[in-house]
Amino acid sequence: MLRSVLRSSSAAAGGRASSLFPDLLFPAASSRAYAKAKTKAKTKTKTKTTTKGKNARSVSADESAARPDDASHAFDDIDVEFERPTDPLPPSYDPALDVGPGGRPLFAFTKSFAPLTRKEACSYVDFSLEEWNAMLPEGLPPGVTKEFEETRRCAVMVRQSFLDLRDNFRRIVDPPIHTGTKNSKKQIVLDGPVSCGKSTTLAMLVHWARSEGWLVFYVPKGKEWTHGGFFYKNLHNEFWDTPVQAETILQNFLKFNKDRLQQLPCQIFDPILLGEGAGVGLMKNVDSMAMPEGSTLYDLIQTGITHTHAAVGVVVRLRKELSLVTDVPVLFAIDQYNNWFTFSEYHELLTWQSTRQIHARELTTVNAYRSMMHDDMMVGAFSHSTAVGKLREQLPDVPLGARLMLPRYTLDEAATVCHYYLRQRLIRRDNFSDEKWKKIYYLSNGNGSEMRWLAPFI
Amino acid sequence: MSDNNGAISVPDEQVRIASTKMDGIGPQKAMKFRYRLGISGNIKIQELTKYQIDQMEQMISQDHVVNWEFKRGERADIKRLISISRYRGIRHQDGSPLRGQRTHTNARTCRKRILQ
Repeated sequence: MLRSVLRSSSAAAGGRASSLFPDLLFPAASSRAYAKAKTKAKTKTKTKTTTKGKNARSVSADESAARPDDASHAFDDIDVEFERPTDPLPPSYDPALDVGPGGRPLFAFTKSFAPLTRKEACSYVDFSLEEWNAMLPEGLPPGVTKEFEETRRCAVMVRQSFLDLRDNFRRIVDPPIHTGTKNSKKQIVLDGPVSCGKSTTLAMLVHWARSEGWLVFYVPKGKEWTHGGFFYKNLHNEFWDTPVQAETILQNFLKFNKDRLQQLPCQIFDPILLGEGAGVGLMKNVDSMAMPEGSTLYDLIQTGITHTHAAVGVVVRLRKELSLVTDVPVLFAIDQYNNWFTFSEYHELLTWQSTRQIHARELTTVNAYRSMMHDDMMVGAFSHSTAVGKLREQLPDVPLGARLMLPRYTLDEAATVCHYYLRQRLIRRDNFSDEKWKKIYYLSNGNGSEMRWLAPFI
Repeated sequence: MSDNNGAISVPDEQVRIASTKMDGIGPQKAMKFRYRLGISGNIKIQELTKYQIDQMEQMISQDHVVNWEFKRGERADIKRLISISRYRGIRHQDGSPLRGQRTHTNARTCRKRILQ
């Protein structure tokens, strides 16, 4: 809505002064004209929804491509003054530039999120993209990727909400002597308004947990469990199997945890029930597969990857095995968790004329991992990007009070963010002032992605 | 494999779209086949296994009339209307529209058959 207001007002501005938001809209029009002068015509084909994706200036490029040429000539003088994010960045570490609001250091130089304290709240932590991909090989959340692309640096801000979440799980694993685990929650659902940092917080938590040596079952896209691939009715129960998704789940889990899984033995030796394989039908005369004694979790997962008929059964068995692991702390981190409380993409054919949409809870894999009514550590992050809609306050299989509302940026966090964008040349140094970044903050109401989009217009 | 020739000729298409290339299969039937076989919306023809293609072929041939049989049925229906001298049969013969459309202007799509 904010963008539509700016665009419509800028369209009305044309060659005349705008009365509503002069400081923001004229730069908007000029930046569009600037981008049109600088950017090639190929960006014309991008749609509105994808304009924000790859480059901050592609937003203005698309809009400028749609506008008539006469606007550009009026703003030629202003065009020259803008420096855009593709200009060379200053060196990564420069004490003169790495200054946050109030003279505080902008970056906290640390190798992991573990040693960070409240003093480092509202500062940035910088890892390389290789380090991020090494710690989260399943994939980064789209919001984090977009931030890295637009700021041209793989740094995330340490927020107090993240530190509280981290300390919560730290207290569970290493409880203090006096208080114990009284104030700690093992199961948490991260909720909050759009672009408040749910996925980013979860990714940072997973990064921290893995750096501590925990076994983390991380699902960056919960929606993928309920969409795509093949789906078959399970003959042994009323659930639906998704063998393609199951294989992907096992492969993703193996990416980071391979070494650790080779050391953890299986504790359940019941035979694994076989289902329909992906595109190959049922196995003839074979209903189940036994796991040999002495096998490890790695062997179990390899079995599921190798034999498509056993993939779903292995995923379900893995959930039970992970709850029995005592050697290392185990954390389940599910992003787009709200997708597991709504309908999947799949339909059941009742008669030739009628179908029934299958709910996510009827999928074998989702049913095994969705419930939070257990004693394991689990974090689920909601996502507004998947258009699930509003869910009820009390979710099934979720404990009372598990929902944690993450706030949007506070004023201090917004100050740090704007100084970081200044550092990364999203904001021009000449135009930067307290009043202007506060305008951005109040205009976007603390919405992180909106602030990033508005920052170049200062 | 013969019933699925129309669909297999476009391996890059999604199953729900490629299935409609067969005469006699429209979007609704294509959707029902997918649900029966357990294929989601984004799967492409080239990702299907031989087992699945055989299953689809068997399903189609069991209950549905497609391709040349469908066209034969269509021709037979038109021939019947002509043979019993129905108004619609005469319109088919003349190459004119037969569903009450105007002919003073337009009707080019129907009349294309005469021009060909």
